Amino acid sequence: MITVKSLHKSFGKNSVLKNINLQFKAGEVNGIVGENGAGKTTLFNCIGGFEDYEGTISYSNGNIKNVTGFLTTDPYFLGKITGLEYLQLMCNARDIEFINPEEKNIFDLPLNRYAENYSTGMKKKLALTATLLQGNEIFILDEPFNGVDIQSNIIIKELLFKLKELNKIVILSSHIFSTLNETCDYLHHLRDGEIINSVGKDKFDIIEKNMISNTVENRIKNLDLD
Amino acid sequence: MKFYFILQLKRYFRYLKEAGFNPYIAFFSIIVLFIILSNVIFVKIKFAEYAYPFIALIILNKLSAKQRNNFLKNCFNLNNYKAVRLIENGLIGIPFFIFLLFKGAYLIAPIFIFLVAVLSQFNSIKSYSLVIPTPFHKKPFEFIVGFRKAFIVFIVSYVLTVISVKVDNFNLGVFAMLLNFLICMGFYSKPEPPFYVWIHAKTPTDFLKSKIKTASIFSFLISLPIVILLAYFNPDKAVYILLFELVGILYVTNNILGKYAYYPSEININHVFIVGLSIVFPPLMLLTIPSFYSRSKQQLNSILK
Repeated sequence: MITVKSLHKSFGKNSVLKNINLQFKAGEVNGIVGENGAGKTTLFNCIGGFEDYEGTISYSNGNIKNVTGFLTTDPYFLGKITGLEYLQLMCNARDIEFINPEEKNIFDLPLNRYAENYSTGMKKKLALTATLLQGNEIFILDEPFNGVDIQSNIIIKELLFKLKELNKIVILSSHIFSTLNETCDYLHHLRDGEIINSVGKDKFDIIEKNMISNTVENRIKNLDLD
Repeated sequence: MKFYFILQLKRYFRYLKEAGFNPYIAFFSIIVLFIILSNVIFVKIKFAEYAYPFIALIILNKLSAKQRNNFLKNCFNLNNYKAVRLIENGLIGIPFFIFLLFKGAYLIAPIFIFLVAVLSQFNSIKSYSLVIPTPFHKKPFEFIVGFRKAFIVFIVSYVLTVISVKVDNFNLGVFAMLLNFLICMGFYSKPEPPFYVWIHAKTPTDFLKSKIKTASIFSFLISLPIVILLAYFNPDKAVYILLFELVGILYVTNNILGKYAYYPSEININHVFIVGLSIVFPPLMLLTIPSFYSRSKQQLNSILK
């Protein structure tokens, strides 16, 4: 289990996360929702250990970083590295033997091409495959469905169910409510760096309505579209 | 369009400031360096009036990169895009044009400036898709990337070694070997994004050891053909060859540790100066390697904790 207690994060005078208290249990899929700039990625970075912070983030089974697969919103790939070599690199980093690459290529990616030339969706799929091959216990997935085609979206959903079944901890963010509805057990609404609501599956519609009324309707009115 | 050029100037100022330079002094230094290097080319190279504009056109080709041009096309309408490219090429081409005139290349200079203008209207057609095979696939990172970018230099170094044997010039062979190591050093000059360090389930000590081990083995492998050839034809100098090999591996080690000593920041002017001094005076590495190692461990501690 991951326990986040009194988490604060500031960049200079700008307070990005304020008093975050959350628990992520094994075998649960937790969704973090919020507008752009609400602090989702910063929260993920703090949990993953990319950022320093105030407060505590503890993991019951040891060092979080060494068992976490982190899928960033926009995965960065080194130049002149093929998809296959990227997967090898990610496995090497965790001292895991990389065998049967063809079988592990669940998204049918052109692994012998340079990863930097992949499309946005292919890059995401390659990065996700790497996190799966690493045998992680924790999965932090920032916008896993973004830019990915429908077939792959279905595969990702099935993967999330499988990870849940395997008792992994999954934390993800998405702006697509239907996917959150299908995959998450809990949703946490982050606004201006604060968790304003945490709900179970039966109350997801409350968060959806709240987001629509607060962030969409008024702003579209402000555009004065004719 | 005016805003675009002001923005570009601001960007260069920011890069220079981040690298620890005063932008005004840096710009002045670049002009002085340009004049000195141009003079060196005309003094040292035969047919410099041809080589000089050729070098300029190679530099200008960088501005024709497809991705950059697609961005410009998105920003500007077609006429303004063409004007931007023409001005950009002109800004780089004109100093070369003036120097050509200064050196009396009155025929070449107008042809050169015409080519500068023509080149501004074309995008680079360089293909990025060809995957160059390497022997480093088990540890795919710096050496795979570096080898694919610089394999021509390695071929040149091997050719130089063969020439050194043919003309019985041992020093040329040593130069080829050290050139190899300098290129391998370059593989570690730019800090990778923190994600690529964070993924390692290793302590800073283990991480650094594995980086140094990989770099030592691979740079040794790359230089092995040179070592064999030189040792075979100069058996009496085998000790020197091994000594240069050791120095080369220490160069690479020094650069790896130097990079992580400032990680995740880009290399700064002090680092460049110290590493440069170590190349000229290798015994300095007896001080820099332990110092960089200790600092690297501290720097990596926050990411690999």
